[in-house]
Amino acid sequence: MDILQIQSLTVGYGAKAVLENISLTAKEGEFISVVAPNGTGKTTLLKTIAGVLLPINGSIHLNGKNLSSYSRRELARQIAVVGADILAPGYDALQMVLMGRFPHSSRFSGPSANDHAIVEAAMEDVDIWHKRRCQYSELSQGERQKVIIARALAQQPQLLLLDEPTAHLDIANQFAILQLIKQAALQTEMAVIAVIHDINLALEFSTKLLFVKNSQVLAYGNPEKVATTANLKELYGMDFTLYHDAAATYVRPNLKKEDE
Amino acid sequence: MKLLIQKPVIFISLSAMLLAIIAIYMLTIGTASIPVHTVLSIILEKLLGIHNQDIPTTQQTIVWNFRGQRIALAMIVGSGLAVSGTCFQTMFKNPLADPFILGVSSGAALGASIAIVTGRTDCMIVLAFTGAILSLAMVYFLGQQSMHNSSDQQLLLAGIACGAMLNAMLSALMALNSQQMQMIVFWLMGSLTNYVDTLMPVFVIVSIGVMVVMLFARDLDVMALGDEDARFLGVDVDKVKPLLLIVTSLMTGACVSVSGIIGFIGLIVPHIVRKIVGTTHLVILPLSAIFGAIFLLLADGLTRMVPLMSGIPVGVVTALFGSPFFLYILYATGRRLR
Repeated sequence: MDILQIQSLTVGYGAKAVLENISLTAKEGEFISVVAPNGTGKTTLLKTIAGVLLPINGSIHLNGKNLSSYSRRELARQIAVVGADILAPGYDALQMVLMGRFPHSSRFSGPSANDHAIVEAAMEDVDIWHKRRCQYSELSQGERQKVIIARALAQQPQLLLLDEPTAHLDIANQFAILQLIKQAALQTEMAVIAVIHDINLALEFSTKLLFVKNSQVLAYGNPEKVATTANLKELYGMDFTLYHDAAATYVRPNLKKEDE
Repeated sequence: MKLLIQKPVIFISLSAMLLAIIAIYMLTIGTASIPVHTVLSIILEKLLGIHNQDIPTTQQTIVWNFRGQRIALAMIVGSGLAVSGTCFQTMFKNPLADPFILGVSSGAALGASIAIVTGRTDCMIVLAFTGAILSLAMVYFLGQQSMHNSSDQQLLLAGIACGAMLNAMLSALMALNSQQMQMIVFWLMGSLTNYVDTLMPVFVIVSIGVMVVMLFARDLDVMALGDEDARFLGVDVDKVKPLLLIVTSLMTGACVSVSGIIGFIGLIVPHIVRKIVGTTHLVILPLSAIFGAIFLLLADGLTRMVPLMSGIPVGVVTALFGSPFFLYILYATGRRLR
Protein backbone atom coordinates (compact mmCIF):
# COMPACT_ATOMS: atom_id res chain seq x y z
CA MET A 1 0.00 0.00 0.00
CA ASP A 2 1.14 3.55 -0.69
CA ILE A 3 2.00 5.36 2.50
CA LEU A 4 2.95 8.58 0.76
CA GLN A 5 1.82 9.93 -2.59
CA ILE A 6 3.31 13.12 -3.92
CA GLN A 7 2.04 14.62 -7.15
CA SER A 8 3.50 17.53 -9.11
CA LEU A 9 4.84 19.04 -5.90
CA THR A 10 6.61 22.39 -5.91
CA VAL A 11 8.32 23.37 -2.67
CA GLY A 12 10.00 26.54 -1.48
CA TYR A 13 9.75 29.44 0.90
CA GLY A 14 6.90 31.87 0.37
CA ALA A 15 6.36 32.10 -3.39
CA LYS A 16 10.00 31.28 -4.20
CA ALA A 17 10.19 27.74 -5.56
CA VAL A 18 13.37 25.78 -4.89
CA LEU A 19 12.28 22.39 -6.18
CA GLU A 20 9.60 21.86 -8.81
CA ASN A 21 7.29 19.21 -10.13
CA ILE A 22 8.20 16.28 -7.88
CA SER A 23 6.09 13.17 -8.06
CA LEU A 24 6.84 10.06 -6.06
CA THR A 25 5.19 7.31 -4.06
CA ALA A 26 6.55 5.57 -1.00
CA LYS A 27 5.29 2.11 -0.11
CA GLU A 28 5.74 0.06 3.05
CA GLY A 29 9.33 -1.09 3.50
CA GLU A 30 10.66 1.19 0.77
CA PHE A 31 13.84 3.20 1.22
CA ILE A 32 13.97 6.20 -1.11
CA SER A 33 17.17 8.22 -1.25
CA VAL A 34 17.20 11.80 -2.48
CA VAL A 35 20.58 12.55 -4.03
CA ALA A 36 21.48 16.03 -5.21
CA PRO A 37 24.29 18.55 -5.09
CA ASN A 38 24.31 21.05 -2.21
CA GLY A 39 21.67 23.76 -2.11
CA THR A 40 19.05 22.05 -4.24
CA GLY A 41 16.20 22.22 -1.73
CA LYS A 42 16.35 18.67 -0.39
CA THR A 43 15.79 19.77 3.19
CA THR A 44 12.93 22.01 2.04
CA LEU A 45 11.37 18.97 0.38
CA LEU A 46 11.61 16.93 3.60
CA LYS A 47 10.14 19.75 5.67
CA THR A 48 7.24 20.06 3.23
CA ILE A 49 6.57 16.32 3.38
CA ALA A 50 6.72 16.58 7.19
CA GLY A 51 3.98 19.22 7.00
CA VAL A 52 6.13 21.97 8.51
CA LEU A 53 6.21 23.98 5.28
CA LEU A 54 3.24 24.46 2.99
CA PRO A 55 3.61 23.25 -0.60
CA ILE A 56 3.59 25.98 -3.25
CA ASN A 57 1.89 23.67 -5.70
CA GLY A 58 0.86 20.06 -6.05
CA SER A 59 -0.41 17.61 -3.47
CA ILE A 60 0.88 15.34 -0.71
CA HIS A 61 -1.26 12.44 0.51
CA LEU A 62 -0.45 10.37 3.57
CA ASN A 63 -2.36 7.09 3.71
CA GLY A 64 -4.75 8.42 1.10
CA LYS A 65 -5.59 11.60 3.03
CA ASN A 66 -4.36 15.07 2.20
CA LEU A 67 -1.51 16.06 4.51
CA SER A 68 -3.25 19.29 5.49
CA SER A 69 -6.19 17.36 6.96
CA TYR A 70 -3.99 15.96 9.74
CA SER A 71 -3.37 17.77 13.04
CA ARG A 72 0.28 18.27 14.07
CA ARG A 73 -0.09 15.57 16.70
CA GLU A 74 -1.59 13.09 14.24
CA LEU A 75 1.22 13.83 11.81
CA ALA A 76 3.87 13.25 14.48
CA ARG A 77 2.37 9.82 15.17
CA GLN A 78 2.93 8.89 11.55
CA ILE A 79 5.92 10.89 10.38
CA ALA A 80 9.24 11.15 12.22
CA VAL A 81 12.03 13.45 11.12
CA VAL A 82 15.75 13.23 11.77
CA GLY A 83 16.87 16.75 10.96
CA ALA A 84 19.84 18.96 11.56
CA ASP A 85 21.77 18.85 14.83
CA ILE A 86 19.88 20.68 17.58
CA LEU A 87 20.83 22.20 20.90
CA ALA A 88 18.99 20.93 23.95
CA PRO A 89 20.40 22.41 27.11
CA GLY A 90 19.65 20.44 30.24
CA TYR A 91 18.20 17.28 28.71
CA ASP A 92 19.88 13.92 29.00
CA ALA A 93 19.86 11.37 26.18
CA LEU A 94 16.99 9.37 27.70
CA GLN A 95 14.78 12.46 28.04
CA MET A 96 15.49 13.34 24.42
CA VAL A 97 14.39 9.92 23.17
CA LEU A 98 11.35 9.94 25.47
CA MET A 99 10.17 13.01 23.60
CA GLY A 100 9.59 10.69 20.66
CA ARG A 101 6.65 9.33 22.66
CA PHE A 102 5.13 12.80 23.13
CA PRO A 103 2.63 12.49 20.24
CA HIS A 104 1.51 9.06 21.49
CA SER A 105 1.05 9.85 25.18
CA SER A 106 -1.58 11.85 27.01
CA ARG A 107 -0.97 15.50 27.87
CA PHE A 108 -1.36 14.81 31.60
CA SER A 109 -0.06 11.35 32.37
CA GLY A 110 3.37 11.57 30.84
CA PRO A 111 5.27 8.57 29.43
CA SER A 112 3.94 5.15 30.47
CA ALA A 113 5.86 1.95 31.22
CA ASN A 114 5.18 0.90 27.63
CA ASP A 115 6.67 4.19 26.37
CA HIS A 116 9.77 3.56 28.47
CA ALA A 117 10.07 0.03 27.05
CA ILE A 118 9.81 1.33 23.46
CA VAL A 119 12.42 4.01 24.19
CA GLU A 120 14.80 1.51 25.75
CA ALA A 121 14.45 -0.82 22.75
CA ALA A 122 15.10 2.04 20.31
CA MET A 123 18.17 3.17 22.25
CA GLU A 124 19.48 -0.36 22.46
CA ASP A 125 18.97 -0.76 18.71
CA VAL A 126 21.13 2.23 17.85
CA ASP A 127 23.59 1.31 20.63
CA ILE A 128 23.21 4.47 22.70
CA TRP A 129 21.38 3.07 25.77
CA HIS A 130 24.61 3.07 27.78
CA LYS A 131 24.76 6.86 27.37
CA ARG A 132 21.17 7.46 28.48
CA ARG A 133 22.15 9.43 31.59
CA CYS A 134 24.65 11.64 29.73
CA GLN A 135 23.73 15.21 28.94
CA TYR A 136 22.63 15.33 25.31
CA SER A 137 24.62 18.51 24.65
CA GLU A 138 27.79 16.90 25.99
CA LEU A 139 27.63 13.89 23.65
CA SER A 140 29.68 13.82 20.47
CA GLN A 141 27.94 14.81 17.24
CA GLY A 142 27.77 11.17 16.15
CA GLU A 143 26.24 10.13 19.48
CA ARG A 144 23.75 12.97 19.27
CA GLN A 145 22.78 11.78 15.82
CA LYS A 146 22.17 8.30 17.21
CA VAL A 147 19.99 9.78 19.96
CA ILE A 148 17.86 11.63 17.40
CA ILE A 149 17.58 8.48 15.27
CA ALA A 150 16.51 6.53 18.37
CA ARG A 151 13.94 9.24 19.07
CA ALA A 152 12.57 8.93 15.55
CA LEU A 153 12.34 5.13 15.90
CA ALA A 154 10.61 5.54 19.28
CA GLN A 155 8.01 7.65 17.50
CA GLN A 156 7.08 4.43 15.66
CA PRO A 157 6.25 6.31 12.47
CA GLN A 158 4.90 4.96 9.21
CA LEU A 159 7.11 7.38 7.34
CA LEU A 160 10.64 8.22 8.42
CA LEU A 161 12.29 11.30 6.93
CA LEU A 162 16.05 11.48 7.29
CA ASP A 163 18.13 14.55 6.46
CA GLU A 164 21.70 13.35 6.07
CA PRO A 165 21.30 10.83 8.89
CA THR A 166 24.88 9.62 8.75
CA ALA A 167 26.67 12.95 8.30
CA HIS A 168 28.53 12.73 11.62
CA LEU A 169 28.99 8.98 11.86
CA ASP A 170 32.08 6.90 11.13
CA ILE A 171 31.88 4.37 8.32
CA ALA A 172 31.03 1.44 10.59
CA ASN A 173 28.21 3.39 12.22
CA GLN A 174 27.02 4.70 8.84
CA PHE A 175 26.42 1.18 7.63
CA ALA A 176 25.13 -0.10 10.98
CA ILE A 177 22.56 2.69 11.37
CA LEU A 178 21.31 2.56 7.79
CA GLN A 179 21.07 -1.21 7.96
CA LEU A 180 19.10 -0.91 11.18
CA ILE A 181 16.75 1.63 9.62
CA LYS A 182 16.26 -0.52 6.55
CA GLN A 183 15.48 -3.57 8.69
CA ALA A 184 13.09 -1.53 10.82
CA ALA A 185 11.40 -0.32 7.64
CA LEU A 186 10.84 -3.90 6.49
CA GLN A 187 9.77 -5.20 9.90
CA THR A 188 7.42 -2.38 10.84
CA GLU A 189 6.24 -1.70 7.29
CA MET A 190 7.56 1.82 7.43
CA ALA A 191 8.63 3.89 4.43
CA VAL A 192 11.89 5.84 4.53
CA ILE A 193 12.86 8.93 2.56
CA ALA A 194 16.47 9.93 3.16
CA VAL A 195 18.58 12.79 1.89
CA ILE A 196 21.98 11.18 1.46
CA HIS A 197 25.13 12.73 0.08
CA ASP A 198 27.13 9.53 -0.16
CA ILE A 199 26.00 7.98 -3.45
CA ASN A 200 27.51 4.62 -2.49
CA LEU A 201 25.48 4.47 0.73
CA ALA A 202 22.41 5.42 -1.27
CA LEU A 203 23.14 2.59 -3.74
CA GLU A 204 23.70 0.13 -0.92
CA PHE A 205 20.42 0.68 0.92
CA SER A 206 17.89 2.31 -1.39
CA THR A 207 15.01 0.65 -3.15
CA LYS A 208 14.50 3.84 -5.17
CA LEU A 209 16.65 6.84 -6.00
CA LEU A 210 15.59 10.41 -6.71
CA PHE A 211 18.21 12.53 -8.48
CA VAL A 212 17.59 16.28 -8.39
CA LYS A 213 19.38 18.92 -10.43
CA ASN A 214 18.59 22.60 -11.03
CA SER A 215 15.29 22.51 -9.12
CA GLN A 216 14.03 19.64 -11.29
CA VAL A 217 13.87 15.87 -11.03
CA LEU A 218 16.68 14.44 -13.13
CA ALA A 219 15.77 10.80 -12.64
CA TYR A 220 13.56 8.74 -10.35
CA GLY A 221 13.11 5.00 -9.97
CA ASN A 222 15.03 1.82 -9.31
CA PRO A 223 18.72 2.34 -8.50
CA GLU A 224 19.86 0.37 -11.58
CA LYS A 225 17.79 2.62 -13.81
CA VAL A 226 18.71 5.90 -12.12
CA ALA A 227 22.37 5.48 -11.14
CA THR A 228 23.79 5.45 -14.65
CA THR A 229 27.06 7.08 -15.64
CA ALA A 230 25.12 9.53 -17.82
CA ASN A 231 22.86 10.61 -14.93
CA LEU A 232 25.79 10.88 -12.53
CA LYS A 233 27.69 13.05 -14.98
CA GLU A 234 24.63 15.23 -15.41
CA LEU A 235 24.16 15.44 -11.63
CA TYR A 236 27.69 16.27 -10.56
CA GLY A 237 29.31 17.52 -13.75
CA MET A 238 32.07 14.90 -13.74
CA ASP A 239 32.64 11.41 -15.10
CA PHE A 240 32.03 8.33 -12.96
CA THR A 241 32.69 4.63 -13.38
CA LEU A 242 30.17 2.08 -12.08
CA TYR A 243 31.52 -1.10 -10.53
CA HIS A 244 29.44 -4.20 -9.91
CA ASP A 245 30.37 -7.19 -7.82
CA ALA A 246 28.40 -9.98 -6.23
CA ALA A 247 27.53 -7.95 -3.14
CA ALA A 248 26.96 -4.45 -4.39
CA THR A 249 27.12 -1.74 -7.01
CA TYR A 250 29.30 1.23 -6.31
CA VAL A 251 30.60 4.26 -8.14
CA ARG A 252 33.83 6.16 -8.22
CA PRO A 253 34.59 9.50 -9.90
CA ASN A 254 37.15 9.38 -12.69
CA LEU A 255 39.86 11.64 -11.32
CA LYS A 256 42.31 13.29 -13.67
CA LYS A 257 45.75 11.78 -13.40
CA GLU A 258 48.36 14.20 -12.12
CA ASP A 259 50.64 13.81 -15.18
CA GLU A 260 47.83 14.62 -17.61
CA MET B 1 18.58 16.24 48.66
CA LYS B 2 19.03 13.87 45.72
CA LEU B 3 15.97 11.88 46.81
CA LEU B 4 13.92 15.08 46.91
CA ILE B 5 14.94 15.94 43.37
CA GLN B 6 14.07 12.44 42.17
CA LYS B 7 10.68 12.63 43.86
CA PRO B 8 9.35 15.95 42.63
CA VAL B 9 5.96 15.56 44.34
CA ILE B 10 7.66 15.46 47.74
CA PHE B 11 9.82 18.42 46.82
CA ILE B 12 6.84 20.44 45.60
CA SER B 13 4.83 19.57 48.74
CA LEU B 14 7.69 20.53 51.06
CA SER B 15 8.18 23.80 49.17
CA ALA B 16 4.46 24.56 49.45
CA MET B 17 4.66 23.91 53.22
CA LEU B 18 7.66 26.21 53.47
CA LEU B 19 5.67 28.89 51.64
CA ALA B 20 2.75 28.47 54.06
CA ILE B 21 5.06 28.72 57.08
CA ILE B 22 6.76 31.86 55.75
CA ALA B 23 3.39 33.42 54.88
CA ILE B 24 2.05 32.76 58.38
CA TYR B 25 5.23 34.11 59.95
CA MET B 26 4.95 37.25 57.83
CA LEU B 27 1.43 37.78 59.19
CA THR B 28 2.83 37.91 62.72
CA ILE B 29 5.45 40.58 62.17
CA GLY B 30 5.01 44.31 61.92
CA THR B 31 4.64 47.30 64.21
CA ALA B 32 2.13 45.39 66.32
CA SER B 33 3.50 41.97 67.15
CA ILE B 34 0.75 39.36 66.99
CA PRO B 35 1.53 35.80 68.17
CA VAL B 36 1.38 32.87 65.77
CA HIS B 37 -1.53 31.13 67.51
CA THR B 38 -3.64 34.28 67.23
CA VAL B 39 -2.79 34.54 63.53
CA LEU B 40 -3.73 30.89 63.03
CA SER B 41 -7.03 31.39 64.86
CA ILE B 42 -7.85 34.38 62.68
CA ILE B 43 -7.05 32.43 59.51
CA LEU B 44 -9.16 29.45 60.62
CA GLU B 45 -12.04 31.69 61.52
CA LYS B 46 -11.94 33.72 58.31
CA LEU B 47 -11.38 30.80 55.97
CA LEU B 48 -13.30 27.95 57.59
CA GLY B 49 -15.52 29.73 60.11
CA ILE B 50 -13.97 27.84 63.06
CA HIS B 51 -14.20 30.07 66.10
CA ASN B 52 -11.97 29.00 68.97
CA GLN B 53 -10.93 32.18 70.79
CA ASP B 54 -12.03 35.78 71.08
CA ILE B 55 -9.64 38.05 69.25
CA PRO B 56 -9.80 41.86 69.35
CA THR B 57 -11.19 43.34 66.11
CA THR B 58 -8.10 45.51 65.68
CA GLN B 59 -5.88 42.44 65.57
CA GLN B 60 -8.25 40.76 63.14
CA THR B 61 -8.20 43.83 60.91
CA ILE B 62 -4.40 44.09 61.04
CA VAL B 63 -3.82 40.42 60.24
CA TRP B 64 -6.58 39.82 57.73
CA ASN B 65 -7.08 43.17 56.01
CA PHE B 66 -3.71 44.93 56.13
CA ARG B 67 -1.03 42.28 56.35
CA GLY B 68 -3.16 39.58 54.75
CA GLN B 69 -3.77 41.60 51.61
CA ARG B 70 -0.12 42.56 51.31
CA ILE B 71 1.04 38.98 51.77
CA ALA B 72 -1.55 37.58 49.38
CA LEU B 73 -0.51 40.20 46.85
CA ALA B 74 3.16 39.24 47.29
CA MET B 75 2.35 35.59 46.71
CA ILE B 76 0.13 36.21 43.68
CA VAL B 77 2.56 38.63 42.02
CA GLY B 78 5.63 36.50 42.84
CA SER B 79 3.99 33.38 41.40
CA GLY B 80 2.64 35.12 38.32
CA LEU B 81 5.95 36.75 37.43
CA ALA B 82 8.01 33.61 38.05
CA VAL B 83 5.72 31.36 35.99
CA SER B 84 5.61 33.91 33.16
CA GLY B 85 9.41 34.13 33.25
CA THR B 86 9.77 30.34 33.03
CA CYS B 87 7.43 30.27 30.07
CA PHE B 88 9.18 33.14 28.24
CA GLN B 89 12.65 31.67 28.73
CA THR B 90 11.55 28.32 27.29
CA MET B 91 9.54 29.69 24.39
CA PHE B 92 12.23 32.12 23.28
CA LYS B 93 15.09 29.74 24.14
CA ASN B 94 16.63 32.80 25.71
CA PRO B 95 17.95 32.78 29.28
CA LEU B 96 17.62 36.58 29.42
CA ALA B 97 13.91 36.62 28.62
CA ASP B 98 11.78 37.85 31.49
CA PRO B 99 8.10 38.72 31.76
CA PHE B 100 8.83 42.33 30.85
CA ILE B 101 10.72 41.61 27.65
CA LEU B 102 7.74 42.24 25.39
CA GLY B 103 7.27 45.77 26.70
CA VAL B 104 4.40 44.98 29.08
CA SER B 105 6.01 46.90 31.92
CA SER B 106 6.53 50.06 29.88
CA GLY B 107 2.91 50.06 28.73
CA ALA B 108 1.70 49.55 32.28
CA ALA B 109 4.05 52.24 33.60
CA LEU B 110 2.78 54.73 31.05
CA GLY B 111 -0.82 53.88 31.93
CA ALA B 112 -0.17 54.30 35.65
CA SER B 113 1.72 57.55 35.08
CA ILE B 114 -1.13 58.98 33.04
CA ALA B 115 -3.42 58.16 35.96
CA ILE B 116 -1.03 59.91 38.36
CA VAL B 117 -0.51 63.09 36.31
CA THR B 118 -4.21 63.45 35.56
CA GLY B 119 -5.00 63.01 39.23
CA ARG B 120 -7.09 59.89 38.63
CA THR B 121 -5.16 57.60 40.97
CA ASP B 122 -8.39 55.66 41.57
CA CYS B 123 -8.12 54.49 37.94
CA MET B 124 -4.41 53.67 38.21
CA ILE B 125 -4.77 49.89 38.15
CA VAL B 126 -7.25 49.95 35.29
CA LEU B 127 -5.07 52.32 33.27
CA ALA B 128 -1.89 50.34 34.03
CA PHE B 129 -3.57 47.12 32.89
CA THR B 130 -4.93 48.86 29.77
CA GLY B 131 -1.45 50.22 29.02
CA ALA B 132 0.04 46.74 29.41
CA ILE B 133 -2.52 45.18 27.09
CA LEU B 134 -2.26 47.93 24.47
CA SER B 135 1.53 47.72 24.37
CA LEU B 136 1.29 43.96 24.01
CA ALA B 137 -1.21 44.25 21.18
CA MET B 138 1.17 46.65 19.44
CA VAL B 139 4.16 44.34 19.89
CA TYR B 140 2.23 41.34 18.60
CA PHE B 141 0.86 43.29 15.66
CA LEU B 142 4.29 44.56 14.63
CA GLY B 143 6.14 41.33 15.39
CA GLN B 144 3.36 39.17 13.99
CA GLN B 145 5.40 37.84 11.09
CA SER B 146 7.69 36.09 13.51
CA MET B 147 4.87 33.78 14.55
CA HIS B 148 4.89 32.31 11.09
CA ASN B 149 8.49 32.31 9.99
CA SER B 150 9.69 30.79 13.25
CA SER B 151 12.01 33.65 14.10
CA ASP B 152 11.42 34.88 17.63
CA GLN B 153 14.00 37.59 17.23
CA GLN B 154 11.52 39.84 15.46
CA LEU B 155 9.03 39.61 18.29
CA LEU B 156 11.71 40.32 20.88
CA LEU B 157 13.02 43.27 18.87
CA ALA B 158 9.50 44.62 18.45
CA GLY B 159 9.08 44.30 22.23
CA ILE B 160 12.31 46.13 22.93
CA ALA B 161 11.58 48.87 20.38
CA CYS B 162 8.04 49.41 21.67
CA GLY B 163 9.39 49.40 25.23
CA ALA B 164 11.94 52.06 24.34
CA MET B 165 9.29 54.23 22.70
CA LEU B 166 6.90 53.91 25.65
CA ASN B 167 9.74 54.62 28.09
CA ALA B 168 10.57 57.77 26.14
CA MET B 169 6.92 58.85 26.37
CA LEU B 170 7.03 58.10 30.08
CA SER B 171 10.16 60.21 30.53
CA ALA B 172 8.55 63.07 28.63
CA LEU B 173 5.47 62.79 30.82
CA MET B 174 7.63 62.88 33.95
CA ALA B 175 9.66 65.84 32.71
CA LEU B 176 6.49 67.80 31.96
CA ASN B 177 4.94 66.95 35.32
CA SER B 178 7.88 67.22 37.65
CA GLN B 179 5.69 67.77 40.72
CA GLN B 180 4.34 64.23 40.42
CA MET B 181 7.65 62.71 39.44
CA GLN B 182 8.30 61.22 42.87
CA MET B 183 5.03 59.32 42.87
CA ILE B 184 5.67 57.95 39.38
CA VAL B 185 9.23 56.92 40.26
CA PHE B 186 7.99 55.19 43.39
CA TRP B 187 5.41 53.28 41.36
CA LEU B 188 8.08 52.33 38.83
CA MET B 189 10.23 50.83 41.56
CA GLY B 190 7.53 48.32 42.42
CA SER B 191 5.60 48.12 45.64
CA LEU B 192 3.11 45.94 47.45
CA THR B 193 1.59 48.86 49.32
CA ASN B 194 -0.45 50.34 46.47
CA TYR B 195 -4.07 50.60 47.48
CA VAL B 196 -6.06 47.79 45.86
CA ASP B 197 -9.81 47.49 46.38
CA THR B 198 -9.90 43.79 45.82
CA LEU B 199 -7.30 41.21 44.88
CA MET B 200 -9.88 39.09 43.12
CA PRO B 201 -9.18 40.18 39.49
CA VAL B 202 -5.41 39.70 39.72
CA PHE B 203 -5.89 36.46 41.68
CA VAL B 204 -8.27 35.08 39.06
CA ILE B 205 -6.06 36.10 36.11
CA VAL B 206 -2.89 34.67 37.67
CA SER B 207 -4.60 31.44 38.81
CA ILE B 208 -6.15 30.78 35.42
CA GLY B 209 -2.88 31.75 33.76
CA VAL B 210 -0.83 29.33 35.87
CA MET B 211 -3.34 26.55 35.21
CA VAL B 212 -3.30 27.12 31.45
CA VAL B 213 0.50 27.15 31.40
CA MET B 214 0.53 23.93 33.46
CA LEU B 215 -1.74 22.29 30.87
CA PHE B 216 0.99 22.91 28.30
CA ALA B 217 3.88 21.82 30.55
CA ARG B 218 4.77 18.85 28.36
CA ASP B 219 4.49 20.94 25.21
CA LEU B 220 6.96 23.36 26.79
CA ASP B 221 9.39 20.49 27.42
CA VAL B 222 9.35 19.80 23.69
CA MET B 223 9.35 23.47 22.69
CA ALA B 224 12.62 23.91 24.57
CA LEU B 225 14.19 22.03 21.63
CA GLY B 226 13.17 24.79 19.23
CA ASP B 227 10.06 25.41 17.18
CA GLU B 228 10.98 23.16 14.29
CA ASP B 229 11.77 20.09 16.37
CA ALA B 230 8.66 20.74 18.44
CA ARG B 231 6.58 20.68 15.25
CA PHE B 232 8.23 17.40 14.18
CA LEU B 233 7.25 15.94 17.56
CA GLY B 234 3.63 16.99 17.35
CA VAL B 235 3.39 20.35 19.11
CA ASP B 236 1.20 22.80 17.20
CA VAL B 237 3.65 25.62 17.81
CA ASP B 238 1.69 28.12 15.71
CA LYS B 239 -1.25 27.80 18.09
CA VAL B 240 0.39 26.94 21.41
CA LYS B 241 2.97 29.72 21.34
CA PRO B 242 0.63 32.67 20.72
CA LEU B 243 -1.77 31.25 23.31
CA LEU B 244 0.95 30.98 25.96
CA LEU B 245 2.36 34.39 25.06
CA ILE B 246 -1.04 36.00 25.52
CA VAL B 247 -1.78 34.13 28.75
CA THR B 248 1.58 34.92 30.33
CA SER B 249 1.44 38.52 29.17
CA LEU B 250 -2.02 38.93 30.68
CA MET B 251 -0.64 37.54 33.95
CA THR B 252 2.28 39.93 33.84
CA GLY B 253 0.02 42.85 32.94
CA ALA B 254 -2.27 42.04 35.87
CA CYS B 255 0.70 41.77 38.28
CA VAL B 256 2.33 44.98 37.08
CA SER B 257 -0.91 46.91 37.29
CA VAL B 258 -1.25 46.21 41.03
CA SER B 259 2.38 46.19 42.15
CA GLY B 260 4.38 48.33 39.73
CA ILE B 261 7.52 46.90 38.19
CA ILE B 262 9.06 44.26 40.42
CA GLY B 263 12.05 43.11 38.45
CA PHE B 264 14.29 40.09 38.69
CA ILE B 265 11.75 37.56 39.99
CA GLY B 266 10.74 36.47 36.51
CA LEU B 267 14.37 36.25 35.53
CA ILE B 268 16.11 34.55 38.43
CA VAL B 269 13.50 32.32 40.06
CA PRO B 270 13.12 30.13 36.94
CA HIS B 271 16.89 29.85 36.65
CA ILE B 272 17.31 28.83 40.28
CA VAL B 273 14.50 26.28 40.04
CA ARG B 274 15.96 24.83 36.84
CA LYS B 275 19.36 24.50 38.49
CA ILE B 276 17.80 22.57 41.37
CA VAL B 277 15.29 20.28 39.65
CA GLY B 278 16.25 20.10 35.98
CA THR B 279 14.20 20.65 32.88
CA THR B 280 10.77 19.04 33.28
CA HIS B 281 8.18 21.79 33.15
CA LEU B 282 5.61 19.75 35.06
CA VAL B 283 8.00 20.21 38.00
CA ILE B 284 9.60 23.56 37.16
CA LEU B 285 6.32 25.47 36.73
CA PRO B 286 4.73 24.72 40.13
CA LEU B 287 8.09 25.19 41.85
CA SER B 288 8.60 28.51 40.06
CA ALA B 289 5.19 29.61 41.32
CA ILE B 290 6.06 28.59 44.88
CA PHE B 291 9.58 30.02 44.91
CA GLY B 292 8.42 33.21 43.18
CA ALA B 293 5.95 33.66 46.02
CA ILE B 294 8.57 32.84 48.68
CA PHE B 295 11.11 35.18 47.12
CA LEU B 296 8.75 38.14 47.03
CA LEU B 297 7.45 37.41 50.54
CA LEU B 298 11.00 37.39 51.89
CA ALA B 299 11.92 40.57 50.01
CA ASP B 300 8.79 42.26 51.34
CA GLY B 301 9.53 40.86 54.80
CA LEU B 302 12.93 42.57 54.77
CA THR B 303 11.33 45.95 54.15
CA ARG B 304 9.03 45.32 57.09
CA MET B 305 11.51 43.81 59.52
CA VAL B 306 14.67 45.84 58.91
CA PRO B 307 14.06 49.45 60.01
CA LEU B 308 16.76 50.74 57.66
CA MET B 309 14.90 49.30 54.68
CA SER B 310 11.40 50.29 55.64
CA GLY B 311 11.16 53.06 53.06
CA ILE B 312 12.63 51.08 50.20
CA PRO B 313 10.20 49.70 47.59
CA VAL B 314 10.15 45.92 47.35
CA GLY B 315 11.17 46.04 43.67
CA VAL B 316 14.48 47.56 44.75
CA VAL B 317 14.97 44.86 47.39
CA THR B 318 14.35 42.04 44.91
CA ALA B 319 17.08 43.40 42.66
CA LEU B 320 19.39 44.31 45.54
CA PHE B 321 19.37 40.84 47.05
CA GLY B 322 18.31 38.84 44.02
CA SER B 323 21.23 39.74 41.81
CA PRO B 324 24.08 38.85 44.21
CA PHE B 325 22.31 35.61 45.08
CA PHE B 326 21.92 34.85 41.39
CA LEU B 327 25.58 35.67 40.74
CA TYR B 328 26.53 33.30 43.57
CA ILE B 329 24.43 30.51 42.00
CA LEU B 330 26.12 31.10 38.64
CA TYR B 331 29.54 31.08 40.32
CA ALA B 332 28.80 27.91 42.30
CA THR B 333 27.47 26.09 39.22
CA GLY B 334 30.48 27.19 37.20
CA ARG B 335 32.81 25.79 39.86
CA ARG B 336 30.92 22.51 39.99
CA LEU B 337 31.11 22.15 36.20
CA ARG B 338 34.88 22.65 36.29
